[in-house]
Amino acid sequence: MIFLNFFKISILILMLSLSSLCHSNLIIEVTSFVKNPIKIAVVPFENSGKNLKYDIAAIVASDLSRSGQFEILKTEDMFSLPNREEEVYFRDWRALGVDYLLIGNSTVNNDKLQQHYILFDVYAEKKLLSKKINQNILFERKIAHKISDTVYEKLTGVPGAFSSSLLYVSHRLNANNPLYRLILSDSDGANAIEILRSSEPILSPTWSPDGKDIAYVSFETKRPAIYKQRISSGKRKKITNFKGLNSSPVWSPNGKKIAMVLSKDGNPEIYIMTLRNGKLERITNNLSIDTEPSWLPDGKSLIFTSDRGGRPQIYQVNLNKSQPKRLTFKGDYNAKGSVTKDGKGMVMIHGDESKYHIAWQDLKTGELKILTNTSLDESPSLAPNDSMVLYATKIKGKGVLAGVSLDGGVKFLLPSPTSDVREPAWSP
Amino acid sequence: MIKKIALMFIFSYFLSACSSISNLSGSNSGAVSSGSGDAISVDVTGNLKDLDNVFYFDFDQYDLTLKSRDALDAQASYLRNNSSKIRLEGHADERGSREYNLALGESRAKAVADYLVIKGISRSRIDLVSYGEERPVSLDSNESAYKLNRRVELK
Repeated sequence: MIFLNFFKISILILMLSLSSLCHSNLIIEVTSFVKNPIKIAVVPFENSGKNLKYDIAAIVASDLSRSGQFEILKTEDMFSLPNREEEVYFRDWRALGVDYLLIGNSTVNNDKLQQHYILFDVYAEKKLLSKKINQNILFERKIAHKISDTVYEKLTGVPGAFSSSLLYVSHRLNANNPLYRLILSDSDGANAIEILRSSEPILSPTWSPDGKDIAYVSFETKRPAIYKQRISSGKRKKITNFKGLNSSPVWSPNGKKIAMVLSKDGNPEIYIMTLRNGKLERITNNLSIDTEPSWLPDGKSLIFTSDRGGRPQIYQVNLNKSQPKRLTFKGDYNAKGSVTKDGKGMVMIHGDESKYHIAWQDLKTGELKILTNTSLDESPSLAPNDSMVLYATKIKGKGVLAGVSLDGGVKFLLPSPTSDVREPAWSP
Repeated sequence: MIKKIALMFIFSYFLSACSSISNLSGSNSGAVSSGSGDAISVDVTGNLKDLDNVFYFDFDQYDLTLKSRDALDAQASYLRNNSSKIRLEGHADERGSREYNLALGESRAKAVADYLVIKGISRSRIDLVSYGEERPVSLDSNESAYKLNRRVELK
């Protein structure tokens, strides 16, 4: 028996290691761009020394393309492939109609990668950026995303979010043998690693504001409990295990508290837990469903979904316990709101006539804008720079992740080739 | 970094070990047999098959339909004659928000529990859990699938 277990353990470790390494990455398809994209050429970077695993320039080009705000010149259309400033002939690039040009070269010494990159304004014939990054060669993709962030910010004025990470839940569609996995990946779906697997549901992954910890709901004990986990060490702690619901954890902006939903006192209510001492404070008190808390950026109030008016709508409550105020009035079904960092608007699920879209509402004017045209959309998660919202939807019966810009102009899909994916959570 | 990755693998192994252990114990425990002897549990499951043990709900609703009430009356009179524990699992269809659906499943299970309590079943015998939209009976995205998925299962 002991030997059998040992054998089983070895096999399991091997299988898990392989499955973690080989977890299929999400594949990005950009389906809609802005009307007047910025035209940029990203010339393949020259590399001397040890061979690189990835094509850094191609990752940068793919990042910029995914934002929907850039049109990337194809490499085969380029007249030359400069890697240094003196090799650039602006006239050629003007003839190709590009506004900006990104070139670069790298050297590798003892696993240290030194990446130099230069961004030019083609019409002004001017250098906009010239930077060097030194990193271990293990972090090639991170270097690429860092370059994308810097170029994006320089050209749009908004910080890039390419260096961020995603959490999502993957589910194998097999009723007899279900498998739920919590996956962590780069923002482009690459480097996917499995951080939890269970035959029971995993739900509501969420990030701490410093990006070091995550929390989620797992049914691994046959009932829901909220767990908090340190990403770097994998160390985790069950933070709630009350009778009834333990759901929707979400960190306060200062990282000290987690708002959540518990039904230990009878029906689903919003509570706030102080992480230091585990103390709970009850926020709502109503006989109907109160769920899906989300913090306002100042940490002084929450929005949440409630059916206290008969149908699910979004309400706001100040933590000094004033009467909750209803925020949504258009449509039968508004749920899972989250407010942008500037506090001006929120994204949410908006349902009308059995269609469930991701929508944006201006919190001052009440103006509502439907951002998606699929009909089973849920779990909206804002990018750290508030430029995009990632959400889950169903296409041809399969769960996929999709992204849309807050003006609805840019759309992309992140399907997984092997499983149903859902509940994206974009890191800070 | 490599050390961290190694720790993650080891950790994920432990997690998977946990879930496989819970799988085993889950498959051992029969529908309503927890705590009772073998002979009784066979009797109980045998009887339950004759009674409706799935109760369906309207969209975004958690009040019991007349049909469910009738079925629960029959369940209650059966349950009053034994002392077995029961587990009520609430479910929702896939439309709308996942966390809201988890709450909806809970409210549905609670509506069934409250009704059984009114009919004389002790609350201490009832265990509630909601799976929201995580455990659909039908994977299709149409009204007939949704109808089957909005339910409470008595186990």
